[in-house]
Amino acid sequence: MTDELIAISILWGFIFIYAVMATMDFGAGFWSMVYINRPQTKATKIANRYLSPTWEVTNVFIVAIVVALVSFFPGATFMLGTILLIPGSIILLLLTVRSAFLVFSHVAPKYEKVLVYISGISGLLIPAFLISVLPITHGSFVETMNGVSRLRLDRLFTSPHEYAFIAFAITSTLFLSSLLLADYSNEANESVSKIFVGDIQE
Amino acid sequence: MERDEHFGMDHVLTARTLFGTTMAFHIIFATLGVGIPLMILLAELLYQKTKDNDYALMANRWTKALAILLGVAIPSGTIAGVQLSLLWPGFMEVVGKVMALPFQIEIYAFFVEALFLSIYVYAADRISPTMRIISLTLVAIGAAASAILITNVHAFEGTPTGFRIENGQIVDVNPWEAFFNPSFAVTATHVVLSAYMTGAFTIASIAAYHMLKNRHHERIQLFHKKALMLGLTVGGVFSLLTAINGHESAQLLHEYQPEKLAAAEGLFETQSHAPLVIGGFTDRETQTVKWGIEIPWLLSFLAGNRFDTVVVGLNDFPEEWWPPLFVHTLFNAMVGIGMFLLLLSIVGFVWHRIRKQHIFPNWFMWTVVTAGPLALLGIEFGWIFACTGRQPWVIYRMMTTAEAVTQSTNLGTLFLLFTSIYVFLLIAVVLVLRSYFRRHPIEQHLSTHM
Repeated sequence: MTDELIAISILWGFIFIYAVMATMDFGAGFWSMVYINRPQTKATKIANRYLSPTWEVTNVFIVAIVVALVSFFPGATFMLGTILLIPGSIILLLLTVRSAFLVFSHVAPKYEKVLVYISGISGLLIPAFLISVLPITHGSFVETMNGVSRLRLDRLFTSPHEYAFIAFAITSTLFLSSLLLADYSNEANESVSKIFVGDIQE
Repeated sequence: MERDEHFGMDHVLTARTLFGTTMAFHIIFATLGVGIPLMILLAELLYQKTKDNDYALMANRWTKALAILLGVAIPSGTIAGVQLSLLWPGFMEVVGKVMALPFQIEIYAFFVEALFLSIYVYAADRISPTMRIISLTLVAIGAAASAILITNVHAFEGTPTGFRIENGQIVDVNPWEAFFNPSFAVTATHVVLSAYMTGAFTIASIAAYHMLKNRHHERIQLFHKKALMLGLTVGGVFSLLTAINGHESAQLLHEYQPEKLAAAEGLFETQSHAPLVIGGFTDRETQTVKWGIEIPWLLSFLAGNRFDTVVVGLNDFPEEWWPPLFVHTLFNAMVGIGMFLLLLSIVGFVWHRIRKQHIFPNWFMWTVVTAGPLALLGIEFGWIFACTGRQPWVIYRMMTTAEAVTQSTNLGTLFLLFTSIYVFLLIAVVLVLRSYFRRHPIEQHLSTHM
């Protein structure tokens, strides 16, 4: 195996692990928002109980991905740093507010409702922005003039290509997290049907 | 590195302001995130030794506070890490090729800290005391290791080794030589020692405040008195160590970054028997420090342990290499706060141990209340001095900050966005801390029998 192949495998390894962990994290946030006003189901509680201890560990992998990218592919750093400034910053801001409120609501229960909405909405938005990195790196949204590259956000957000990726990110997030939560609640001796099929039967 | 500078200094300044604001915000929580775990660990150990329940209570309450603080420290640290690549891609390109080791190792430190903190915070009541102490020790080690490794990157910016730049290409890369750059040990030690000092004084501040507030409640007074003494003792020890190590840091500047030391001291002419100027403001026109107190010969002695040490002045360097001259004030503020805190601990020690007075006078208590915020201010001044004093370089004599900056424009909007999030989080943290400790007042837990 060449060095490049090893490096890109490690990088994609990190991305894969993060994708799986973060998908559950973000999806759980969304499901707890959906079920918040149905006190007869325990979905919100289960989702939150799973979420609280894992987000810090999940967070480590974002940094791991960036570090791996910079140290294995330093040549790509300049261009990627430049064009990902706006989407990257939006992701960072959403993640920060989300993580802070995860902790706040654990300590001060009166913020629980605010958290459920913040983590629910950011749970959909963050995967959408994260996956946008893929269509951006495909190149057609980057314009280079006089040696300066910039991302054409207008072209990005009017392209069906981008929305196909976003749809994929959101549906897979919701699918994987519902699978995991079903399994988690099963382990925690909650009946699966009560959580996810419960409201259909009512 | 040869890279055309398409943008004016305004663009660089906006990028520096944005990144500086991120770091100024993050450093508050990062410092406490290193300092508080040590205090919790000491309280846990004191509890195991004395079986005094008050110490267990301290550990428990400080952990709650730490969890809230880390709820901001970890995401703001993530922002800082990613923003480095987004705002300074030219710098990170060099880091990727030469100085990636600290970042790679830091991932593990961060991982250990995050994992064991989750265990300690969310499962504290389900694990044994030994396991609690092990978790806590790993949290403290992880936090300190993160601080040391990230500071190493900062040390490398000031004293870069392990590579050369030839015709715009990076050659002769030796990652371990870059890792063990000349200022690594001293700078990293400075950061960790001052973080321990700040954590301890923050605890002492809060304890002093509650003692003043609950003057007539003896049991509450007693609880906070123990916390106060622990905070003052640890704070005193680490302020002394920080001062000794700070002196080494200054000698390192004398050797490796003389123009930074010259700017810090407001020294324009190269001379032996150089005076130390305390306070005042450096004036570029007259090449003097206005309204400062001058102590003859002292700077030479501090820089090289001899009065005839020749200290290089700013005039020996081209003016475009001069750091901003206001760093003299920042440097003085940092050293002044450190000295003040050291003095405070000495007064407390003399009062308590030598005069055998067990009740501190009110003026002393109010001064202790200011110690925590002052220590944090000292940290801020120190970091701003360290990074501003390196300008115009991002990597000393290798790459200018202007060469490293992103080509993306419109940083102003991002600056406003990030700043509002930081202000919002700062307010939220204070409200959440208050709300938690209002709902769990200390009276609930204190037994009336001692």
